[in-house]
Amino acid sequence: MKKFATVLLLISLSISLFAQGGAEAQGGAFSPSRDIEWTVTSSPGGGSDIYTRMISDLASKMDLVEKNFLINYKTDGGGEVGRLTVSRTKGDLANHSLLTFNSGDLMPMLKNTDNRIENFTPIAVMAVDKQLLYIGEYSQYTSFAEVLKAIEGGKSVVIAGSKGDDIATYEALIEELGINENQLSFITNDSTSAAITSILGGHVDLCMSKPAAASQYVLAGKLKPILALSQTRFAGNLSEAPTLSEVGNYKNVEVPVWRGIVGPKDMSPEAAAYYSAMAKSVSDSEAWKNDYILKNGLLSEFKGAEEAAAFMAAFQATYLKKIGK
Amino acid sequence: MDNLLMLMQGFTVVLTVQNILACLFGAFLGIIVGAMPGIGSLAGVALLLPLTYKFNPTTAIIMLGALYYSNMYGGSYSAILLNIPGDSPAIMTTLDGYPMATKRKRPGQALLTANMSSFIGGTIGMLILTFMGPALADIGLKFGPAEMTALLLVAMTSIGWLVGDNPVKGLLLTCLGILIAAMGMDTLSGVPRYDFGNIYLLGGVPFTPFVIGMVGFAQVIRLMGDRNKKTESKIEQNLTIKGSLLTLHDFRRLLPPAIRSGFLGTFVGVLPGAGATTGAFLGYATQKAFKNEEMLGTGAIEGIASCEAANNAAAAGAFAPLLALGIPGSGTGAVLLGGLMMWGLNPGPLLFTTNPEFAWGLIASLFIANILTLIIALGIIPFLIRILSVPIKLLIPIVSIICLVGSYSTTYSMYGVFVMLISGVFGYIFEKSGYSTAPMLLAFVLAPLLESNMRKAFIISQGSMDIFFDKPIALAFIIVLFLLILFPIVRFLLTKFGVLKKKIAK
Amino acid sequence: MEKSKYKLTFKGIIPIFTILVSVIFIYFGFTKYGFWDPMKGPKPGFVPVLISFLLLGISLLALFTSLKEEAPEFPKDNWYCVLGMVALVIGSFIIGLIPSVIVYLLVWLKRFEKVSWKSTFIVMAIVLVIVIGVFVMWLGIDFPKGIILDAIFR
Repeated sequence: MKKFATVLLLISLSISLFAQGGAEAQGGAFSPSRDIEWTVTSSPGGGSDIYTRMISDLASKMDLVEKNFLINYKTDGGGEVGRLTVSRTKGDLANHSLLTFNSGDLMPMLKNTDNRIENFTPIAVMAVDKQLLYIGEYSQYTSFAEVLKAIEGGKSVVIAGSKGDDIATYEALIEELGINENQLSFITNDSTSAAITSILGGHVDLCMSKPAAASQYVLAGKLKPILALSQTRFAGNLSEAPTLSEVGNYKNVEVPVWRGIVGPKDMSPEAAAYYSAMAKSVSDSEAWKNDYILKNGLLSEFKGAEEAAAFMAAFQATYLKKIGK
Repeated sequence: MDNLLMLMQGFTVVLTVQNILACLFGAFLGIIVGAMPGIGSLAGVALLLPLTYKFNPTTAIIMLGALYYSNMYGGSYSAILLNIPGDSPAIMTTLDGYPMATKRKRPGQALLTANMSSFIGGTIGMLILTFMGPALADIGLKFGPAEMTALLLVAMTSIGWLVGDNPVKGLLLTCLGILIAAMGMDTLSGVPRYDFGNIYLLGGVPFTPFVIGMVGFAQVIRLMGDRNKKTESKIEQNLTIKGSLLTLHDFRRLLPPAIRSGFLGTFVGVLPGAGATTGAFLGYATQKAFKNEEMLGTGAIEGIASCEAANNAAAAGAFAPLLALGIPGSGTGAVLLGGLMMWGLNPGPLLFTTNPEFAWGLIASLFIANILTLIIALGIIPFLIRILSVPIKLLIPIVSIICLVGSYSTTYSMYGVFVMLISGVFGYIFEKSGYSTAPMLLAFVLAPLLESNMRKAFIISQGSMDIFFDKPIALAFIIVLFLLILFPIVRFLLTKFGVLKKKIAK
Repeated sequence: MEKSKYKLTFKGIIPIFTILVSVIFIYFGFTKYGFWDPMKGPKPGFVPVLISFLLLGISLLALFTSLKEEAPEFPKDNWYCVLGMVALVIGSFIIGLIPSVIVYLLVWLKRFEKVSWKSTFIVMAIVLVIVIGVFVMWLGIDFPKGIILDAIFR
């Protein structure tokens, strides 16, 4: 009997280890009644992970939430499984589920699955990022005007970049320039650092990167920005790069890369408002501005729940139209 | 000489009580994480990262560096004792490690061989890193898509050395491995490939659960047949460290392959995207070309030494591009980089000039981690080999559960478990039908690298083959490739026409 | 030949399987993913199709040689641990992974292997230390809780 009791004890111990439940949320103003499950659809340590931890750490430090954040990494199916699971979360759990959601997540989701932004409750857009084109030490060109001239002369130029956002920007660029993808071709790397590796070795002509990933190489003189894919020039040591309209008779090309937060479709409006307010407080804090926005060369552009919903829906519509879906 | 001075300065940074404790702690955790199948160094470093925010950056990175590095030691333990690779570089260790521990009944020596070779390989890698780190990183940069394609083609021919006595069967699984690896998202075109409309297959077949199944769970299924056999206590006398010591003769056998693999592994570690797994594979494959006292695959010391030395050397070599240029050679490297940024350091080409005490401190800490890990390993080997005296009956459920939780942890979902279960059943059927799975796993790692590099090269050259012949490094490897292919044919022809004497081996 | 009637024979099963795989991969490779682009070289279907053709040829070769070989045997005993794993997976969905592990160990060791309580508890302790101590507490991995607990705490 004693042994049997031990078994019972073991079982109950192990159950208590993972069962954390709480009382139902009361009506009126929402406040979390249990730990919040925050899903990240990429591996620990990456950009999305750092972004998520930054927000959740600050929210806890500033005592914006009393409960803990449980960060889950769901990388199956390129993240699609995690996104689908969150979109289908129902009931009380839906009010305690968040998902890190970026433009780089939205585009493959629209392209490869039937999941749409309507299946989520947008909560906030926290930051916006843009790209530049760089040349390396061994590049044959010194400015984007020279690149264009070479293409006119029948040469082919190769850009190395990363997945998702970079491809969208590249496509917008060749459309505006009115050239095809053989004249200015694009190599998709798994990460921006792989793209930078190939330009440092002189294997490609140009490289596309966001300011943060390239800043150290610009400082060391290994990379030089030659085109800002933005409506206006960048600040600091990136200011020498002209926008496309300054190079020639073109419109500026800008495909903003945004980082946001969404919840499941089933999340109540009160809960969405609560998390949106939390995100706003984080976004307004000095720590966020210094340790995240400034360090990563991002632009702080906070959009609350409603604004974010309209913004993401518009982004989706434009993208769907572009890929003809 | 300058570098040596800087390294000494690095040692003065590292040699504080706090840092040594951090290093010790990291080394210890690394061994545990490494020995658990499913959680490789990537997960270990990533999950430990938040813990280290409280430390100052130097201490934190010392701990993480030690963890990353000692992980390679731990990976060999489960490979040798249970035939389950603790991490992917340890796949090759199972080939000779497990037979040496069980068939030859020398488990202690097998573990010690693995650790000694790791130590030698790692030391070579670190010395090269110290004296030519930045130069090495520049050599790595010279390997663009065309050069990598040529190099990987040469590497693929080394599968030929692994297929064993039945080339048809070996080649069949090699092709199957390439096809399985092709499933999932195609990065270059951004199109899902062979996903058959399944949302899980969109992300491809994850490697770690696949290996745990093919090697580990398949082994459990095989063991079921022997479970009622009495385990006539295989190891009575050598439960102490004394009984596990290597003889002088053992050490002489271990040294040449370990040194060779040390250099080879360092070089592989520096190449973009190649990593420790490729290093271990190539180290082992190269050893096939050299003289071995016992046949590789039957528990030969040379086999263990060649892959273990190569994988640790590759882990050290990968720090060259990471520190000199801020380029991560592997997923783990990328996480370390993320950590550096969180601590306010700017990894990149300027790190050695702006934060020399940090960069050299890290290199110095690798040396210390190498020694500390060896000492820890010596201490725990006698306890580890007791695992072999556990009756198979009891071992089967334990190992099954470790396979289950390990494969769950790689994907954070049951998908990993399904992959493990299915590949376990296949692995068992393959092995029983006389197919060896090692070439398949090698193809699974190398083929995607080869394909993406080849396609990138063709985009750069606009569909022209010239790129492989215009670049000197690529051309050199292509020539090697032709020699490797032509050599057996020429020898065959010469023998046939009586120019060369037939080998008389009767 | 009489005896083998009662055993599953897997003669040639692997080559037949790989022939199927290669045909499927060739079909999809050509129809869906494309083979060669004049300006960009290989398309996504290039390597898989090439390898599939190679696999098809080798599989045919292996099929012929396998006919001469003795068919491998797969004793019934060996499949029990596969069944155990399947039960663990199903159990994880219903009552959660950790309770399933406990039940599995009890059933496996006591019912199936009939070992002593002492060994059972030692094994149980080792497994729980590894699973809960290392994976859950230290590495913070969130194992499935099963649909019953999910329903209660939702």
